[in-house]
Amino acid sequence: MEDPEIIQLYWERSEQAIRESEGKYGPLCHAIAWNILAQEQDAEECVNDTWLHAWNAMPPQRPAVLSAFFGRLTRNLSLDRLRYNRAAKRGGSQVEAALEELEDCLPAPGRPEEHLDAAETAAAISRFLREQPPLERNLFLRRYWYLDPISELSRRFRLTQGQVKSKLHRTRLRLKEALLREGVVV
Amino acid sequence: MTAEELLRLLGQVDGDLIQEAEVYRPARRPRSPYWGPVAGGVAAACLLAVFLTHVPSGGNSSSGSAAPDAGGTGGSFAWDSQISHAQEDGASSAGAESAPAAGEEAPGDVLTTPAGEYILTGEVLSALPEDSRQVGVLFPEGEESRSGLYTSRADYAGCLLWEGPDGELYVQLSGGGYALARMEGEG
Repeated sequence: MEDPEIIQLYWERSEQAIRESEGKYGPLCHAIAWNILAQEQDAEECVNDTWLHAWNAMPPQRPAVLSAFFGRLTRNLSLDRLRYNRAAKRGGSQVEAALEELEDCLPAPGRPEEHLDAAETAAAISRFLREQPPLERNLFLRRYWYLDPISELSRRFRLTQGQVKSKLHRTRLRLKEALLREGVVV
Repeated sequence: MTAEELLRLLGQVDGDLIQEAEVYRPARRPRSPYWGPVAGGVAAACLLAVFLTHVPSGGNSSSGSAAPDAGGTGGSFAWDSQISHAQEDGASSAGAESAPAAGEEAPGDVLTTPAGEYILTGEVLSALPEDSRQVGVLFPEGEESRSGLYTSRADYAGCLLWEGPDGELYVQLSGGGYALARMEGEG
């Protein structure tokens, strides 16, 4: 089923919307949740919560890119769950490694952000990513949006793990430079 | 901003970029039936040359004689390898082993800026002089930096560079402190 038809089902309050979403985007959302949580039961619950949140969001929303919409919901729900789990000392995942790597990009680690708000910073990151070559851009997003492990990126992009790490490192440096230029930190 | 906040912010990047990353696959490089065997032959010849120059056979070969040759033909390999190790160190831990830390700096490394070259003195200050200003981010040599700031030290790549009111530069070390660099030729 095409995405506009699935969205229409949500707007018509048809429960078939959830079945169609699950069939088409369940594996994608599950992969994201698993990368973040590394726990089957938690990942499953986050994916189920994704459909519930989508049900509550549509209407009024009509997402332009349905896969990104579902993926973003799953990602946020999974990060929330991870925070809860970390507080309770449960689980481990790609997030810990990704967080360490992202320290590279922080213009001023630990300093209160007072220059750009979240939406502006996200827009700056989007602009930065559009300026990158496709390989670097997609590698970066697969690592830090989808939280794919390095080994999976190596296979997917036909690079050695060293090349993957090296390209990610260079992109992180460029992002840091771009964030500084955009005024994330004076 | 913390790394976790940045990770969350990344979740807000534009949907079309996410969609692209979902389906993106790098293009396969076409393989030439001619160049494959040629490349294999060249690689074998290189291996043989390296073997002959590095085996201590009692002749006049030594690592000293091999090094300039490697610099000519294998310089980029050596550079990639160096970068790669730096990344692995940085990515595999919080940087405790590889991160530059106050009080442990060796002098002599070079910072290259649009204004000229600066030599790291080895001094590490606990705080910046007043009225210092942020200059930008240091890139490893060989990379492309928009602001033209480079370091010869791989572990300084990504560090913030500051300029003091006296014109001296300071590298903000991830382990704490600021490494001092002076313009080449200045005392």
